[in-house]
Amino acid sequence: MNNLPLTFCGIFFTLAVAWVGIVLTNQIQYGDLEPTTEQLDPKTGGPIEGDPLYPEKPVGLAEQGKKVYMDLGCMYCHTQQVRRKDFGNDYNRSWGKRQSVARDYIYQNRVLLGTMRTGPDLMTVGERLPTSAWHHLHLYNPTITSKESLMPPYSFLYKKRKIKGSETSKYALKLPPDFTVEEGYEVIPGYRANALVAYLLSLKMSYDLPEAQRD
Amino acid sequence: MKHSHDHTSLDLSTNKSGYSDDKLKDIHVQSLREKPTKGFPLLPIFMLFLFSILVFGCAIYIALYSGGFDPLIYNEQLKPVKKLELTNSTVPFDYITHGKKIYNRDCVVCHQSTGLGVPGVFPPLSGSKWVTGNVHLSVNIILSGLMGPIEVGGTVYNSVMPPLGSQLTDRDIAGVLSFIRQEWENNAVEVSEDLISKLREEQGLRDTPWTIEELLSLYPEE
Amino acid sequence: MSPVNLSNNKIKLSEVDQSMKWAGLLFIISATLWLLAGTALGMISSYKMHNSNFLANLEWLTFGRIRSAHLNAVIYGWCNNAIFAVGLWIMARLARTKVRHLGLLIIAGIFWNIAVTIGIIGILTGHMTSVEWLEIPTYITPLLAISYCLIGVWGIIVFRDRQSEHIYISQWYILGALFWFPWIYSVAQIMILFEPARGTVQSLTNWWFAHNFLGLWLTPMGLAAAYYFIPKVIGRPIHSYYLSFLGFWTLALFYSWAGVHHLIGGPVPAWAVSLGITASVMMVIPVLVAAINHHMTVLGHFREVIESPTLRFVVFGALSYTLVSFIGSTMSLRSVNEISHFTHLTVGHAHHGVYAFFTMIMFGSIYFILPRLIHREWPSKILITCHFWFAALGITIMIVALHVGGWLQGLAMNNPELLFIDVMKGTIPWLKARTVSGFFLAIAHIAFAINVFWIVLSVKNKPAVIGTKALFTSPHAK
Repeated sequence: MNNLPLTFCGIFFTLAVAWVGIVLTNQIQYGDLEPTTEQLDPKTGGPIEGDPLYPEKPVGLAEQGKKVYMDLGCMYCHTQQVRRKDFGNDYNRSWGKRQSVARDYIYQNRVLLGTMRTGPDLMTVGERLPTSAWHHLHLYNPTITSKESLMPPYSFLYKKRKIKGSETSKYALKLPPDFTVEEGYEVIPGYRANALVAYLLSLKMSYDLPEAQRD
Repeated sequence: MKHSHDHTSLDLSTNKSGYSDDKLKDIHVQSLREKPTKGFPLLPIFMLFLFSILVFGCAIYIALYSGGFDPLIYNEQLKPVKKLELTNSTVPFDYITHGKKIYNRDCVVCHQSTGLGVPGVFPPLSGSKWVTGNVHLSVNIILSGLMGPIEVGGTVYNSVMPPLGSQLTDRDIAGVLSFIRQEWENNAVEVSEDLISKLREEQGLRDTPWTIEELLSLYPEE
Repeated sequence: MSPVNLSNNKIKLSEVDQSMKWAGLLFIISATLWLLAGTALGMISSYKMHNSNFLANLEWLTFGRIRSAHLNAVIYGWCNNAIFAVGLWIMARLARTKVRHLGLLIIAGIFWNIAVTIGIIGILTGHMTSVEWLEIPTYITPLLAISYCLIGVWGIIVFRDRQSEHIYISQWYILGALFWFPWIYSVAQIMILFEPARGTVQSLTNWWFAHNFLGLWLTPMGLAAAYYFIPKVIGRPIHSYYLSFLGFWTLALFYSWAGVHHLIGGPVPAWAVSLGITASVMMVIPVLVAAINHHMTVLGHFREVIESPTLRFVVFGALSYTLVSFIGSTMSLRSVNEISHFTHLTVGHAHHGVYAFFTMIMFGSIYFILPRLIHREWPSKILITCHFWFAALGITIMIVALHVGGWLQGLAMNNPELLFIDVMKGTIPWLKARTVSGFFLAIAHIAFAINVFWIVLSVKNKPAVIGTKALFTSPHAK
């Protein structure tokens, strides 16, 4: 029991084995995962030549919005993963037409799977709720769009300002009667609100993947 | 305790029966040396038994539910397919099927899967005479984009359609056009790949999108 | 009492304690302050969970941030400082050697606390990474890692200088943990934040880290303290000492794989999940060993448990360890996890492990260590009693509320008939119960903090001497 070098080896190898098994093996298996076509070519077993490849690289304002999503900690109440049809109830809640698979995430430099569903899953929120106006109202004050929501308001992402001239800005939120601001003022989304909404609208799983069909 | 100044009665823990650090070690070293002499050592046998059962059960679980260690198997009840049964039959290429895929990737964001667009912002394709009419116009619009006002179904739209000529192949464009010309309410003939190649050569890829007037002067309506 | 063969060249225990004095004080006081900060942050986030308009206009107190600030303040502030104090002290005691070059250790400790402070402020001001258990912004984590290494290496140095032949089981655990922690931390930092791995490999690394933070860092330290204090205070050998080595190696072997059970049903390969589940089930072995060794040793000595503050907390922690581990193994089964995943049950389970098990043992250890470091008696027995009962009651309320509430939430979420908004509404009473439990814990921690500052600051407080009317005289003298 007092053979120290052996003890150190043991301490080292127990964790080393787990690290190799969980982290490295998966990095080897997934490291070269590339986008593919929705179906595979039955002749080659590879992607069908000329068909669109999925997933696509995320671009533009949505990537800025992801940073807002991260710094506000949205993922502590919202997951971004869909479980398969016969496991849990994700399918019936229309959180996705299929399970999400590793390939869906290969272009994300920060994967925000989440482990808590205080709020609904957001993997496909851009398909379920495709209008930015809805998202802006919901972020500004969630009780506008769902009366009993427990989500905190993110009104600090919005600016209240005096209406210039006679017309309200076309960007101003169309607030329902109970939530209006005082006469002569309007609420407009700040840059971060626009980015965050762009990110939410970009969350889609509208394509199929070959490995997701076997569920 | 021998060294009483080492063990002041701070905290009850140094009560009369407590161990000093040395005693703590000695007594356990001793316990390791001692061989159980009397009775049947039940505990180690029980632990061994439990350990074996667990290892056995877990091994079976892994054998049954690890999807053959295939990284693409997410449902533990599935087995990997045997080296994809490759067939020699090629799926015949179909422009409409291919076009639908392209549409779902590149067009659906604005024109929507219903083909109805977004009212006031993105014009509908379903029932639009621009889609079913002279195909030269629509090919050019896809190749180099379109800007400025255009009237569709009685409404004037004024947005920009981005040029797609550099990212779509002639086959893609032929497919997507064939698809939108036959989908929804539309019922027009398919478009051939050659036409796209011809127009791509004739007009090239412009730096600025077309306006509808330019196109109409180029291809006067029949 | 029992004669001990002390060779004359051995250092006196009081000298060992004396050598740890300033470092121990630094870590215990920092830990106490972080505990208070963590409690405040936790209570605000708990209250926000059922009252979303509370402090809603302050961006830096938005739920996502304050919740993460709570987590990081507690694990890197409270847990790690407590470990540095308790782990190093036990190591020094068992190695029977003085802690040398204290200046460097103290500087490393100060830097650790500065780094955690900057990290928490970073989280609140919007630089959070949104990687669970690793929220601290990357501009400060290298400093955390360096300070840790300086502190951790002290444990190894003390161990190397040991004066005794036999390596007691607590030393194994501390040694293992001191080595495992920097490994998992640096791998997680690099593979998730600095050079992100491909897609969901990040998530696998994330849970490999986060679960090992509990399994290979907090747990061994908690077990080390339990293995040290239970036989020492009661004065009775560990029930089956030879088994404890089996416990150590099976813990190292199985706990390190278990983390994947946080990703059941997720976009990670089925085989990795199955292995994680298997490892979680195999955890039954080390847990059973610890249970036999701790509880069977305590059995029949309840008087000491009631009367020794150290033992009271440590035994509560050891009991919680058995319970939380068996619940954990159960939760990792796919059919159970289908319901419990994504619910408050997971949160309850985390508090069960980190608080009811680990934190309670650390409280007990500090009650033993601090008087020896500064040679003073705890000033208030009432505060200790108060601390124990409010903590025990508070954490029990929290665990029951979150377990029951989380399970009902999971059942409701899997019921297609129920709207999501109704699922969420169903959790509100349980979340309110959690806030109530937070008040209990806050009272407990304030009592603890008062006692800590009282004993540290009151110079007049005389050192207690055997046989005098000290607060914690032997149980028989009552």
